[in-house]
Amino acid sequence: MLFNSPFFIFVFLPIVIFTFYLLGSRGFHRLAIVWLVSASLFFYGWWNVNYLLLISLSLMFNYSLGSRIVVNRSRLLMILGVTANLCLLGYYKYANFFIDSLNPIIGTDYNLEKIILPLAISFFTFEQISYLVDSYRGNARNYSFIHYCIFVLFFPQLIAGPIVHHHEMIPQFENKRIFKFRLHRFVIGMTIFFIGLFKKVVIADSVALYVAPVFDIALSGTESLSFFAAWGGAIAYSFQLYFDFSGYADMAIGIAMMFGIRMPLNFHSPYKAVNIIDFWRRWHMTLSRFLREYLYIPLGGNKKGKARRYINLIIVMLLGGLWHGAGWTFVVWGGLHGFYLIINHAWQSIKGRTNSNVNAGSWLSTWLSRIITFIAITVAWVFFRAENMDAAFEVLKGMAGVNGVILPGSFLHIFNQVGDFGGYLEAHGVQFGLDVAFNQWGFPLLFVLLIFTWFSPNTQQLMARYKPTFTVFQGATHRSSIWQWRLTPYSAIYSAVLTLLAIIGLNEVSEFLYFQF
Amino acid sequence: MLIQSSKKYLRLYLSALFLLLLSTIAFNLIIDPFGVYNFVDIQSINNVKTGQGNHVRMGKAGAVRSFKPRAIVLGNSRAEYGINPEHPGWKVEPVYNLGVSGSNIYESLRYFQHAHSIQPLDKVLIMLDLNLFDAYWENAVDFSEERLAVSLNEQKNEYYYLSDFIPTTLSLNALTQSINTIWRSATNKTTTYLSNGQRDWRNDLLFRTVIRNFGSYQNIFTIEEKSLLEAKAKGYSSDLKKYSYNQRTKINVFDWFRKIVKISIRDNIDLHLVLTPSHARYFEMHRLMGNWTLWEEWKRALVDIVEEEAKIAGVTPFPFWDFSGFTPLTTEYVPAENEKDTKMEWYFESSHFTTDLGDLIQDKVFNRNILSNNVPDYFGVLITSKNIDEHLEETRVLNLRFREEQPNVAKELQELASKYIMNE
Repeated sequence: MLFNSPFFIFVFLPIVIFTFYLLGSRGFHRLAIVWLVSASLFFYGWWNVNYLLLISLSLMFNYSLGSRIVVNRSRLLMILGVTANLCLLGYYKYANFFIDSLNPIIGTDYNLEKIILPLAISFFTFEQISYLVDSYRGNARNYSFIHYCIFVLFFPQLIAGPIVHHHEMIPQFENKRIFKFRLHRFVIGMTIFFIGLFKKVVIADSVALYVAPVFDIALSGTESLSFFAAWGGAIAYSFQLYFDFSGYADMAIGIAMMFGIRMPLNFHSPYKAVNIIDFWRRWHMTLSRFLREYLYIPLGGNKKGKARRYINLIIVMLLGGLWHGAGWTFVVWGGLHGFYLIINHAWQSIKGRTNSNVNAGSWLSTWLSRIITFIAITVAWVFFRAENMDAAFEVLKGMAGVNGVILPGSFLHIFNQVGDFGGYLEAHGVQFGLDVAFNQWGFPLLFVLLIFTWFSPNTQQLMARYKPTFTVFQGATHRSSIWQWRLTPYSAIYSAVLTLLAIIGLNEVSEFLYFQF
Repeated sequence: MLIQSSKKYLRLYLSALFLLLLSTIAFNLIIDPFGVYNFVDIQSINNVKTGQGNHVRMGKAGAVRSFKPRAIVLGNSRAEYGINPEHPGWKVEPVYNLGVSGSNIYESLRYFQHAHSIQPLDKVLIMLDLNLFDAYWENAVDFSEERLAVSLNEQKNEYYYLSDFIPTTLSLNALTQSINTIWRSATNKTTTYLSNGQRDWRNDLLFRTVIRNFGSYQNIFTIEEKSLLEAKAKGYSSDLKKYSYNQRTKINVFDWFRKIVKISIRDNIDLHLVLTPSHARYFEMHRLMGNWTLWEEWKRALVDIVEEEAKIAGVTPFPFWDFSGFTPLTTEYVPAENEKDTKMEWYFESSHFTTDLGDLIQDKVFNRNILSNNVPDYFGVLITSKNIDEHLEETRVLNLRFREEQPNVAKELQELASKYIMNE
């Protein structure tokens, strides 16, 4: 069940909320939590009932182990637990990849039946590892089992994050305040939910139409990608991924808010970043937090000299890449970001001798940095999206201009109004005609989205007045703007328009793309 | 102005949302960008239906409901472009071009049944193409049984008209297409479909589009020929039995064709069958791909079915015309890459013919030399089981002559084909 399905929005969610408050307001607090846990299990089992057993066993195992570690602080148990979790993840997520990669190296032909990846396993593994490690470190206490369950299973965050932390979630569920229905919280949560839904179904799904043809052509290799088609596809994917993922995070935050629960912030306008370090402070923030606290710092972080620091960065980013998916493309994506980060840190340490504040640059240098950062991220996303390395290189070849440039056929006529400019371009290898890989109408859309992501406030800034998240972006400024949501008729109307578009965006007509003249 | 109370806010928000939902429904119903409802059709407001192009199955199923045609054209995009339902030869009204782009013979049958159940049909012209009979050609993604008025077994489907209500009134696609429709109608932009179901056939327009998007006729012909070769390389059988029989579903698609013939006989529908005249290059390419026998067997099988069914019912077989082959019309010269000002008269692409050629076909089929009083004798041959051998032999001779008369074209196609055959 996805958040963007009518069944979830109009049936599942209302029933869960209504029953939760029905129980909660009559003092059955424990029962209300049990209800939430059951609803979350139902939500999870909707996808595949068989894996309910797996997630339940994982919960019981980690809870009982964690409760012991909290008491005896056994390093052995902690290592055992973390290893067990990683093995489970390794088996379900990486066994196929491992065998497929190993076969050509050692010249074997082992065949493993395709293992279906259990939904959300990457997320609940990390959340529980952090619980085990914190228990060992003395940063956790004994929680009740039902509270532990809701910390991991709470359906808004279960399948796509944010990656929550036990010490920020469990105390909230223990707080009696959440059991009393507050219309105010509900309205705020609903508004955030529909902003997220809008981002997902209106923006991400529309721009996705421009992505698939480019990457499909790159995969099939039947045709070569022209310069604009390749860039168009790659940039469109940057937007698709951002609006999809951050829209989903907004929806999670919004739903949680309807239950009076605040989620950690997961995105803060990542494409406004002025360098890669900045990007990782704004993109999938709860993952960065996890990797920093449970991988980078234990590896020694930046305390063991510059060389070790860079090695640690590369290790973290390679593993972080692999976490996103079992494939070399993800490893390369992570490695590329590790490489970017090293350059970024090296640059800053050189620059740091004179001026340490990255934001202190001039208007021009800030924008130059922002554009270069965006391009670097877009190039990396090509690996993230491509089905395999060959396909990724096909797209990058196009982006490098190896396959030439095609402009829309109608441009020839327009350019020829100015001297014989069109003819001049044609003579220099520019083709005019139909680019089958990328519909020309995609360009104005991408331009609007670029302006939108760079200049408009994000969901948290719109809702800043009501502090909808548990954590906030460090250094966020809350200037009041006309966009800021408040309990005004103006906000009610624009929220209604947004909601309308999000709701009608759910009902798509299946399309038959015929050979288009 | 701050309302302060969440309750008041929620009330305002919900009322606004409710009003917006209602107005969206009304707006999309009136503008009707998919051509499904056809309540109002106003020039410069909503006559250019931009949603129809990619939703032809939805649009045409709805249009049949609103126009209730007594005669229809069936077939794929070749019929959609080439056959004008306003040809005077029809003698009944209204006529609707119910050809569906990229369809197979099953879809033709289902749309035929749909139209016939809404308004009993008097006359049908079916444009037959070999690829309609490819048993592995799946129904298109936008094909849906729910929107058709009857089931395959002619059971009434009570709520068929509701099946597209939400997607056509309360979807983002409908809203954007409505806005697009208004804009394109106001700026007098070209349309994909005319209200009679034919694709916009104006040859000037097609000519300009070919030049703009593909540079030349030569290019678009080559693209089509390459795609034929690619399809062949992916492997369909050249044996008619395997071509038209789906191993997985155990369905022989000729059964669908037979059903069209059966229903027409039973319900006294005046059925005209026509084999479409694609360009000579198209058939020559099929010959090079080893499909010649497939075509011949296919024609025989169709003639047999038409005659078998007539015999069972004790009626005269429906007229069965072959317009394909190698005639001065179908071998029309294809302007080369640098001839950007030469417009073709009969074709704009190797398998799609112009409406002028379609008019010649209709003149012949409906026996009314009205639009052109001289349809050449060689164009269009009535075939039966008695003369088919002779006819097929003659086509072989004409094919040989085509290769002799246009050796450059023959050589060009030969070279193109050999590239793909070598690659295999």
